Amino acid sequence: MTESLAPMLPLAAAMPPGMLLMLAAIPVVFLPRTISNIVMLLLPIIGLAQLLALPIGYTDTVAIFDYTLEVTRVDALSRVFGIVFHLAAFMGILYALHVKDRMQAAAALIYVGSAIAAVFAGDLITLFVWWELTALSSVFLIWASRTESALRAGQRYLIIQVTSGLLLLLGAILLHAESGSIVFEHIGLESAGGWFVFMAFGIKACFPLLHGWMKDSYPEATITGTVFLSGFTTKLAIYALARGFAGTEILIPIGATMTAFPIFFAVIENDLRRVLAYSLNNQLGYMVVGIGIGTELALNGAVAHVFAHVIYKALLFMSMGAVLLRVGTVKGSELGGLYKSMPWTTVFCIIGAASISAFPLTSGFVTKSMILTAAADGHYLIPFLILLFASAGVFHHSGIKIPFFAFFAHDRGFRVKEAPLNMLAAMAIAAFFCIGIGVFPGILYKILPYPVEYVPYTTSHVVQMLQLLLFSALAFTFLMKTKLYPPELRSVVLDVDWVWRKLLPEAWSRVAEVWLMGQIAFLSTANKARLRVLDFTSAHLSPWSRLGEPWPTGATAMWAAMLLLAYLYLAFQNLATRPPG
Amino acid sequence: MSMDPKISKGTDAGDMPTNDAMITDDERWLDRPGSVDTVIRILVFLSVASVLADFTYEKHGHWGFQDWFGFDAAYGFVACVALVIAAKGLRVLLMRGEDYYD
Amino acid sequence: MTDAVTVHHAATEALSFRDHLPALQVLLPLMGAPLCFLLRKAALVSFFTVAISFACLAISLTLLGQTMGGEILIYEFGSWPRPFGIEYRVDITNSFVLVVISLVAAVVFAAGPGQARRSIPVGREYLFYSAALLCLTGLLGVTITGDVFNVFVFMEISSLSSYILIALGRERRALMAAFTYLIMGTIGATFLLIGIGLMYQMTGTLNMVDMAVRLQAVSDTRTILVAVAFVIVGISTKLAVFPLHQWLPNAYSEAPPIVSAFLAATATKVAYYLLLRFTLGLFGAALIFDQIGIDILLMPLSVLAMFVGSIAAIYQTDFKRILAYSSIAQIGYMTLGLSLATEAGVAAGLIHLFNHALMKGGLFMVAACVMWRMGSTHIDVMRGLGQRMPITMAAFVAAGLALVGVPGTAGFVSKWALVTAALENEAFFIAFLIMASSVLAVVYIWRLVEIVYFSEPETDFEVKEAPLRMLIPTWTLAGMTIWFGLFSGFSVEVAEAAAKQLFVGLAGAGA
Repeated sequence: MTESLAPMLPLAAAMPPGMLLMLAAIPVVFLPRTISNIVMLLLPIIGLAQLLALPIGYTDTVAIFDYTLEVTRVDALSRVFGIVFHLAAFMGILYALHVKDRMQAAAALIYVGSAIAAVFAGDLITLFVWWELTALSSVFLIWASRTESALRAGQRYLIIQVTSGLLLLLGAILLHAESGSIVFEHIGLESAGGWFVFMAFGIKACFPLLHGWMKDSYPEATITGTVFLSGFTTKLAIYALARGFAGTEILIPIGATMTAFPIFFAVIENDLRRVLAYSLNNQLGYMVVGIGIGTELALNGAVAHVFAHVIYKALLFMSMGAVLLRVGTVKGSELGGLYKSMPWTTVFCIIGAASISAFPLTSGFVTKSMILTAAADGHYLIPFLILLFASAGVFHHSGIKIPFFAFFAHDRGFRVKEAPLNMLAAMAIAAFFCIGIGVFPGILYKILPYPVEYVPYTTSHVVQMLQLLLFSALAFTFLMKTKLYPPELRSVVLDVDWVWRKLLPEAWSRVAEVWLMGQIAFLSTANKARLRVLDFTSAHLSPWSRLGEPWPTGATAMWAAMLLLAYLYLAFQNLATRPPG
Repeated sequence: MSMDPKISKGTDAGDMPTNDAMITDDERWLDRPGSVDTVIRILVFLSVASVLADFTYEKHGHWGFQDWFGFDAAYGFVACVALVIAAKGLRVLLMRGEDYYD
Repeated sequence: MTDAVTVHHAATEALSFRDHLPALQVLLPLMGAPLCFLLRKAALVSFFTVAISFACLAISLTLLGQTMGGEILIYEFGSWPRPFGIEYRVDITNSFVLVVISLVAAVVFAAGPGQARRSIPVGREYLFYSAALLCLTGLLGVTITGDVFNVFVFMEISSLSSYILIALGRERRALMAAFTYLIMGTIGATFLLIGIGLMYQMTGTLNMVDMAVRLQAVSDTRTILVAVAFVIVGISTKLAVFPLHQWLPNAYSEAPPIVSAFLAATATKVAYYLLLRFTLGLFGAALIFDQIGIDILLMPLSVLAMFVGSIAAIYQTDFKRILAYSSIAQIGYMTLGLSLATEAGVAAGLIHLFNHALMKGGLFMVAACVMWRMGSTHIDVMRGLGQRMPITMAAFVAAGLALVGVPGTAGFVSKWALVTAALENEAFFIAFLIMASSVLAVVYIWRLVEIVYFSEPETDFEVKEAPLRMLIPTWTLAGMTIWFGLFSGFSVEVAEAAAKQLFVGLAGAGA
């Protein structure tokens, strides 16, 4: 394929991958809708062709300030991410084709384009620029909901995302100060700069305790916006970790924790899109563990899992989006019986659920088992057991809970229309890939960064996985029958975002109270002092006093005197401590 | 640890806008009494079959326990029950009314 | 000591037109001010003022070109050699500041008196222009002169004329703001004068270079230590260094926006230049940093300014006030650069001086456009202006991004330089604080973007785009913030050379 596209190279080299999508955001706003829809659907296809025309090893540099920035670097790792990002972009655009809001379309294009461009950034400064642009553009997908809670969730999201970018920049500067290089290669944790970059990546990759932004904001985005969001930000972080921190052992416990703890929240969470956000976090854990192990098999597994994950996660968010569009809610406590009116959506959702649960013949199976095998090969016993536990758990909360409560459970009597055609088409494409990759894993394995010798379909793999999944289902049935299963309740489940949504504001209001009281006390004292100092000027002030309270000339005069004293003290103190002569 | 009174109690059909008349119009196989039991029976059958499949091949796990008969089945079942019970406990700690943050 | 520095004495050779440029730099606007009275007619005066300010810009650029190589131009008035006469002394640092002042003046004056015109009786516009030219004279004079008493005189000229300009504001409160500014300015000037007097007492000269040389012998006398304190506090008042900043928000927000654009971009910059000139040039880095350690005080004050200014900006409800409080924070960045006590730090301060003049000038020009059309700059009147005044608001976004420090804008270049300088000192925490305060800038700029683009206008009467005469200056400044963000070579190079020269000190630079 690469060879046949070789003649297109000069054309493809004109701009970094992803740039085309970003540039197209402007005309898309102004073109008539039909034309702009066609343009938008063509964009990821043209972008993918451009990417495939660029040979592995291709680089392009731009000189700016005193630095040479490597704006494009195509290698095996970045190419896989580029391909799946284009694929996800196409599905997302198709899924959102009915949306009239042009701001969303433009934001999505810039977001997707900058995420793609970030993957091909060869240095940390270029990465930083695109990294921040993904944050700035994606927040509009949240704000596009145009609700008060989305506005506030978006603001929180933006602050955290921008912080991640600033940490990245600070890390880059530190690394540059240490080594004189800003090339984005393996970074490691040997230096302070490395830690900053690690934290920057960690925020976007939803490390435990840094994950609050995702479950907070994704469910607030628009129906179509969440589908875009689920595909890029976190996976960009996974890419960056794979590039900069492959084989960093601390990632193994971090990743293992990520696989396990979100599922507890997912079980009791009522908002099904938020359940998906939790399972997204859990899936990121597998990838992080794979990166932490760092062997060729583990890295291949992590990358392959990203590829499969982007597609099935999008599929699940798409199906829940369709439900939200038609029913108006995705609260588990209010849904049920939708299989009757939305049969196609039900089928696609089940395919997505099977994939995330890693059923044999679905994409999740052929990728997740690579990471599990790599963990076993490395003799990481506890991480392995946690991953196995999480595999059962993810089936439990995503594989069963999502389709069961949305489409089956108790029939709530909703008789709605099936999802719009463009949504069904997008879901069908995603479902096609879920099963296609599951049945023909060789196609995916071929584009992975390292050569693959792994065979997913052995008797033991298949039987063990089936046992795990079937008995998880059995456990679910048992718990439902015995009424041990916690009912879906309308509620909010506290998570780390509680710290900044509740604890900090309340603490802040306490502090503000004290501050205010201190201020009043201070001002009254200062006022008395000022009145004395300014007795002689008060005659001049009084004609204007009706224009409002006197402005603080006296206060500033006092400060000037204080400052003078401070400088004098500084000067004479040093004089006193100096030896005479 | 008192629960917020605003949390609605249970998921019983009673407190939800259900339309029973419509459901009877649109009865499917799954709605019939006994159908669910059939599904469960199929599930149990498949589960037992998957455990019995352990006889058909030789296990070469990285660790000894992996080779135990039906290990994954037991692990999956116990893991899920433990997960749900732990999550239920978590609810007491972490669950608040829907308007908690407003 | 006089290593590799060429000093060009204009007086000792036959004088050409080119040699008179330092004098013309100040004399041109000084002569222009009274001429405005003679011309009277609004259009004529306006054209005349703009012509003069562009001539000043041309002169300052020529001077910068002449001094870029490290050469120092000395212009002795009436060919009286020092210490008898007054001399102008142009090096990279002050020619750079001259360029900033005259550039902003040329661009901003081209916009005319803006909203102020409505409060000036028709036919009396020449008063505005002559005050503006006098103010320009004062600022250029402070910067170019090589005589400390001359500094004081020119500072008074610029201050007195700026009181007039501020008092032209629309509300009666403008009078109060001007009065406050007058008091504070006088306090600052008095402190400075006391400092200068003490220095004169110990050295017997008013010429900067002579004074710097003689100061070395007496640098540890009590008199000089007191002089240092008076000079720094005096200049700090003019510069609005926290906590002496309180005159600034009222003055800048009550003045006509055009005046704010001019003063915000120039007056505090000149004060920063003076701070560098007095501390590094006259007293010398050894006395200031090693012996006294003013950085112990200046650094926390700068950091406080960064945060107090930005946080206060977040709570304001008037666009001009937001900009004014943001200025306090930005001044904090500049003084932070000085407090790092390194060449890189001072260079960062100078880079920010240049960049901040562009972006704050641009933002106040946006405020002037809003004022022109809406009659107010309260944030409520800015609702939905994104659709109604798209060109103006695009300039706001460009300059606003620069204020935040987004890559590709001038603000990024400043912050990069400042963070690098902090890291060079291994002041990691300071570097972190610089980053953290940038987040605050995101908050107050974003708040405005949200109002401008994402909220519905309160009134539905027709609002037209600002007139071209104001749009062009606005976009000239906003465009330059982007231009100097992408091509930072000029500003960075000049600032680094200037910082290097400053650290040599006036005594080191020799006669």
